Amino acid sequence: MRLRKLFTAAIAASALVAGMAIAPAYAATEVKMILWPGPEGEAMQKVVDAYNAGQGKKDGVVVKQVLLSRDNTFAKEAALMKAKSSEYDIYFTASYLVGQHAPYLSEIKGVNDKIYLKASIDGLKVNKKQMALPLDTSLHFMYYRTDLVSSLSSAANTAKYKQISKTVLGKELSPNTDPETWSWDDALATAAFFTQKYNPDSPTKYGYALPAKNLLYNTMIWNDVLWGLGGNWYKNGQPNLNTASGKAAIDIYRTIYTKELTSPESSQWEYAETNAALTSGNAMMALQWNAAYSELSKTGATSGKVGIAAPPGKGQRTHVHALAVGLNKYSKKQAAAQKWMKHLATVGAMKNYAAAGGVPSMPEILTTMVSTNASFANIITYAGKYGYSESAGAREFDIYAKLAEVLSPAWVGQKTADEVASAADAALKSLRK
Amino acid sequence: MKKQWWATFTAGTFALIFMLPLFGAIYTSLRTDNAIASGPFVWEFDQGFTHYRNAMGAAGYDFESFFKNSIMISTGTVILTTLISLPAAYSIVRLGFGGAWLLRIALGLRILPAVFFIIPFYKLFTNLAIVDSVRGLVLANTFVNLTLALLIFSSAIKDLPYEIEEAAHVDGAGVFRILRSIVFPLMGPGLAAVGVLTFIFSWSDYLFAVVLSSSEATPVTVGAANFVTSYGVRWGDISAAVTLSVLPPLIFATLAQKYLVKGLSSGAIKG
Amino acid sequence: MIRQRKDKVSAFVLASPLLLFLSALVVWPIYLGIKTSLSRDLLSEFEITPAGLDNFKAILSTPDFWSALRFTILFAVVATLLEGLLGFLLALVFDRKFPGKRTLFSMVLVPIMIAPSLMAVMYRLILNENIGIIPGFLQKFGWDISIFDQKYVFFTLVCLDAIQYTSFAFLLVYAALQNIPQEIYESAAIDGARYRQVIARITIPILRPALAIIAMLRLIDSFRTFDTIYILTGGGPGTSTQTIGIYIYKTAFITGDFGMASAASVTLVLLLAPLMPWIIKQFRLDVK
Repeated sequence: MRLRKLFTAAIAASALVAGMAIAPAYAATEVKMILWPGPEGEAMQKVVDAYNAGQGKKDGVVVKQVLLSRDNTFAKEAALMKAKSSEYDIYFTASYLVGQHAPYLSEIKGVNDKIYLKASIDGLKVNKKQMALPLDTSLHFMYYRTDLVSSLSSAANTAKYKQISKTVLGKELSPNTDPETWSWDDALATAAFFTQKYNPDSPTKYGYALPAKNLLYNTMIWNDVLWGLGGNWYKNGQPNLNTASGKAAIDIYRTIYTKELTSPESSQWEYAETNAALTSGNAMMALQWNAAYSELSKTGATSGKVGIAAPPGKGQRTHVHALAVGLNKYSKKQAAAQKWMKHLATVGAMKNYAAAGGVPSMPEILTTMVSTNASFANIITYAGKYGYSESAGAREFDIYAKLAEVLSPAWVGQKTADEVASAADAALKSLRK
Repeated sequence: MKKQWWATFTAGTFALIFMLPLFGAIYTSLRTDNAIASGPFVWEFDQGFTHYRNAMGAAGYDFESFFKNSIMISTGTVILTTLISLPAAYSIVRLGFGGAWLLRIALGLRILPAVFFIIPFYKLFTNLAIVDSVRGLVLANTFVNLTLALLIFSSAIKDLPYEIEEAAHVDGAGVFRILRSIVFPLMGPGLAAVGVLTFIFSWSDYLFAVVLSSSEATPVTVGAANFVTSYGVRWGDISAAVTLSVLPPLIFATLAQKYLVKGLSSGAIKG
Repeated sequence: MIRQRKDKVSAFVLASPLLLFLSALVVWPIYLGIKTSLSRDLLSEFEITPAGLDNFKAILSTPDFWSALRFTILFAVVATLLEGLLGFLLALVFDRKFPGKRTLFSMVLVPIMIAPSLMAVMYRLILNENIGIIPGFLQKFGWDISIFDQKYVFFTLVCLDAIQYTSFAFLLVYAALQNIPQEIYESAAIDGARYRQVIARITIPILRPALAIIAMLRLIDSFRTFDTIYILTGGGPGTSTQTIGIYIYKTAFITGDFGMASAASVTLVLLLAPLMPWIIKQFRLDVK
């Protein structure tokens, strides 16, 4: 009797010990990740769900996604990083911020560069170390109304075009109906042709929709103009905006605004307002983010009539940046977070992302999804051929903002290019790191 | 007495102008995305009320939770603010405590931009483990509304005729007794006034909510901002969210309207 | 004598929740904030190093700080005067029985119920030239004006602020009006005084302290104006519509310089501090 009791106790005890040994393997670690609301966050949720139900179980990791509002995500992360918080394990970042965030992120090791778009993966390296994994790649397209541009080839319109370009730009130009080969002169002349001030028969009130608000994201768009004209922020380490190319780029915007090729209200326009101008039929062309394609191709006046071209000019001329996720240096769950990141850095995981509406920076996936969204083909080509980013170090984010502040008065004609160019160079000099 | 229709007309004009943003929101929330993007007067009725459905629970935006949080935070702030400010106001006005000094601090706090406090509060709350909690946001919002509450209560107490309290004092009543049995009953209106304004202001808080909440304590203001995405502003959805978010404060204010007015003035003199 | 001491003790006890709250929640953050203003504290730099008064010297010599301050003072004063005046007039209108008073009262309060951050987004929509209802209406009447044009933008921003906050002034003035005993109006009527005289000679003088407080509160609050202007113009073009609130926010969260931002905040308080004794006086705390 006593022996049996002892025996039962022994079995119970060993079961307990065995259970305790096994239990930790089943207790999953929770990894918290910050992401943007909107299509990116919604798409990522699907990837997270798939992981938690599948690979995550093997890794012993449960990922929880937290969405913060787009405008304040970075402000909040700044506060968190400053406070050396360990509340979140994975931060949302971007190519233009990774320099500022790098001191607070852990390096991500073992990433296979080849599965990504080169511009995207490289843009997230700081001092050759991979500090974040790319999610969506953003770049710029020149959107235009296909029906209107093709109508330029008629004899009557050609004559009018020549006359208007002479009036507005001072040189006589013939219509170029292939926007992919446009120079900025072609773009401006086309815009002038479709501005009712110069052509009362124009179906659109203005030719161009200019995002000229004092906003750092608008500087990114303006950069395309700068590079398309052969300019650059720095040359041999020295600020390069107070030069012919820099001032010419400023003048393009200034011309568009002062010659009224765009609405005077565009002094406070950014992404959403540019779209509204196009979909309402009040403008017919704009240099704009690739993400706009889904709205433009399906709504309003641009529905089914929106074309994509590379930003005008020569050489590398579209800004490219990648949204990304990085590992919090102060996270208390580095190992678990690393496992999740490893999963994210695979084509398989990101296939879920694309299926749910995301635009992963992986050529393999983008090519297969062209049928859902025609602009994906352009993303692959342009990112490779024309993609560029300034990669100006830790203060890059700040530079965009400062340039927007310094240049926007000239964009809207309140100052001349000469007046602002030297201030721009001064800003570039003081923020160089 | 002749009905003063001119007053209706004037007040109505003001009301119309003030309500333009809300009218805009309601109008937008009932249109399809295509109509919204095509022009201001393009009308295509959104038969499925998709914007309202989105605002109430699409794609992981847990609006039910957002609303619950907002209500709890606002109500909690009202209670805490009142509990702290009313006795203090009495102490300052009638018992000469601190006086100018304390009010000076309160005013100074209101001038300091919220940005000054963001990181310190975040650190403090993390240390106290109240980050991303309703408790934490109640504390933060109480901080924001203290000044106004102190000013309103102080003003209201000053307006009470001192004779009543003096008489009670002479009769041997202690300060607490006077506060409880005489002052407090007369403060009904004052309480309602502070209540409504504090409720409204904490309902509207955004910056503190963004930094001090993440997923558990997110209020409606932050939730609605989720509709500003990098693919475009979801005008329809955010309009629906704005329309819905106006309802609780509106109901609160309408109910308290009767007390609200008498409150800020505590008309104890009127016959 | 005993009563006096007991009073002092009771005074302390009554004020203790406030003192507790302030010391627990306010003292340490202020200490930290001031410490930050005296340090070199940037997001892009890992180390926080003491910097003495460097930030303050930098702020005082930054033209952007002063132009933001100038713009904000101008904006705050004009907006407060407008809102005070409109609030006062509106309160006078409401200070009587009229059909629909209850409904209209609630309607008039709606703007302060919408969070400023959401109000800014709504403004952005309804003022949009291409899809907004306001320009839509204006264009129908043939007014093709550009409301954000340099000539008009200040006026536009003040109007938007007035739409948002006049209700607040209205509410406080209306309440103060209720405090004036009916008898005074009645005897004035018997004496044959006309409405305008009543307002000028009786109402306004009685209301003076309340009006001063409301004006001061609104003035202080309009110094913190941020959301609407930031969302609509970003402080631009350039820095032409940049308020001090926007300046501080950008310094903290875009430049990532928390030291400077804190220093700017402290400087702001120090500059506005001289106004405070005047406000306190309005309370006439010495007179029970």
